[in-house]
Amino acid sequence: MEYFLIFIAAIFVNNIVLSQFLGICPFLGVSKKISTAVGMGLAVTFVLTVAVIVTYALQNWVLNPLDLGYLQTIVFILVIAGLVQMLEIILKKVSPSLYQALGIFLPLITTNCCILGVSILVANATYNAQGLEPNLLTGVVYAIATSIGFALALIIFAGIREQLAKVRVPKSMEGMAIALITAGLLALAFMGFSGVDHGIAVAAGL
Amino acid sequence: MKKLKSNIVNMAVVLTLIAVAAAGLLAWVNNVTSGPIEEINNLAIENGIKSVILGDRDIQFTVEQPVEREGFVFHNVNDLKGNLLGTAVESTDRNGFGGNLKVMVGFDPEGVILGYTVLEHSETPGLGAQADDWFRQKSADAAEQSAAIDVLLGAPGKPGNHNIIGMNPGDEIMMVSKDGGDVDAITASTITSRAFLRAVNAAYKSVFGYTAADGVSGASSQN
Amino acid sequence: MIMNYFKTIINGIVKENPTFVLLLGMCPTLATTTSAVNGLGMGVATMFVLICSNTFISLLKNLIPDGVRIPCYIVVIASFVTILQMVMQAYVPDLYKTLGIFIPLIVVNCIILGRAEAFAAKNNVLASICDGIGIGIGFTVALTLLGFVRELLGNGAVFGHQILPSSMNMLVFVLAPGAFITLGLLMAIVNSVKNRKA
Repeated sequence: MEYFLIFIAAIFVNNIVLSQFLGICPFLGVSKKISTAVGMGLAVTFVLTVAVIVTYALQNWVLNPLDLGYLQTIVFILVIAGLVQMLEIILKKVSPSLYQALGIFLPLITTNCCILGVSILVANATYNAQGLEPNLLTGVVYAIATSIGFALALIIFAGIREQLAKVRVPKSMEGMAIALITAGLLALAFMGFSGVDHGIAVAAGL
Repeated sequence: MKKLKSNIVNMAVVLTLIAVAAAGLLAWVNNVTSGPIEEINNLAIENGIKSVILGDRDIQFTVEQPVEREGFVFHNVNDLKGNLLGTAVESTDRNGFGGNLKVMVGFDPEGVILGYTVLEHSETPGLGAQADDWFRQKSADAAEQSAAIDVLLGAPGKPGNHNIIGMNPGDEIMMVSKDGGDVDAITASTITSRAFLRAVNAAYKSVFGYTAADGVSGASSQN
Repeated sequence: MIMNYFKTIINGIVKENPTFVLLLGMCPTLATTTSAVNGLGMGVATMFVLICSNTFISLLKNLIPDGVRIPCYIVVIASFVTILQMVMQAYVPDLYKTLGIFIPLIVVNCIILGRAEAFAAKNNVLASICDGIGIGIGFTVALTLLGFVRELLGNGAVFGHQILPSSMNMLVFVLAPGAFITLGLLMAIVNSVKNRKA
């Protein structure tokens, strides 16, 4: 039940893009078409899950025992960059069709701050684990939930922008300005979910 | 100087050299700053103890060695004659808006809240951070504040209480009024408020063994 | 000669303003601007890393083979970010607490890697420093402006000083949606000024 709550909270209540402001660049950059948004969402889910497992292991079994906590940022970003490269090579060999679908998004992901951000949150145990012990399992659940939240926001936003492209907007509002205001309204809509997780928790008797 | 060629030896050597240099530099900076960082953390705890137990009172006092038990840290504060003035408890709630919310609460020997301070939080900057002041403000500006948000949301406002100083979690239900408690939540930050009150209740419970909120179903029972 | 350096700085603030023109580094721009002071703090922190990384990358540009260019840049940037992190923790703990996770995330701020690649790797040290200063100021100004507007509308305060009664606060501007909407409107204003000039 708590795991379900982590999902609800990370997807709707504390949506990574719309309320935590991580991963804004791809959110604004790759959201012109629904099909690319789906691809980006899948790629992020994939990389984020693997990255969280690897960085969690590094933090708890290498950096902390050696008292090297201050190397966290530098090690994590290198690991993520390396991981993305590796995934690219493996995907190319193992599943060319998947590579076709996700390939072009992979290089963009290294500088997607939601990967590094969520890795740091999980490694430092500073995310909302809904009362569970923050360990590797809850970390991975949180990472998957977060990336679904990212994909959802991205796909909804792409849908809106596809429609938006067909209407006329004032000249100075064209492009990013109107996109940002649309994103603001979307964030406002997602605020409506706040408290839902608590409601479910109470209803389930937690 | 000409640019180095991208052969495998060059690449490996340069990358290794840069990484080693970076690690060395960081080790040195870490060495230099770890002292001040620890000092600041200790100072924060020290000032925290002073402010949550004494407030504005000017009394000479001594602090006993901190005791750690079940995730709580206790600091007993005595006056110079050795009488217990109160206990400052460090308490963490894991269910804040963005994770941990760590507070220090001061109780007098009867369990009345003398003061509190927020040690660590990962709430919305500028909003959840209001917990710093909110729970010690008089309700007058509370009514005004909630009126503003009520106008925005189109809901009727009601004046309430959110000053927890002087309350006793053993007698009063320290929960958000929405959940059937006696304390008003921070405007638009119910999650932060719940986490804060849970931390306060847990701190009380760790010293005195029970709270009035235990009887009410909901938030506090999940710990 | 000096004119050129001056031009580089102005260029970074106006013509290539990272926020309003290049549209880079949006995460910290939106997340940390709940007040003018927070925006200013984030801007200055980013500027520090940008100037340092620009300097070093420009110095090392001939030593770094093209094949490992990006990993080397990332190591340099991450080192300065970590130094900043430790120094802030030691000397400005309150600001460090407020900016939270967005300090380590300066590493993935596209502005920094972007400037390393587009400017520092091709120009001499002095020009790269000027570019860092210019872009840094441009970013800081944008963040402070955004923080100023959000704080004024959301909390009725200017740099922490209450000037409007709290009944006039529109809290939504401090919350997440307000960040998007304020930046969108500011961008529209910048565009309309630009259009009028053209």
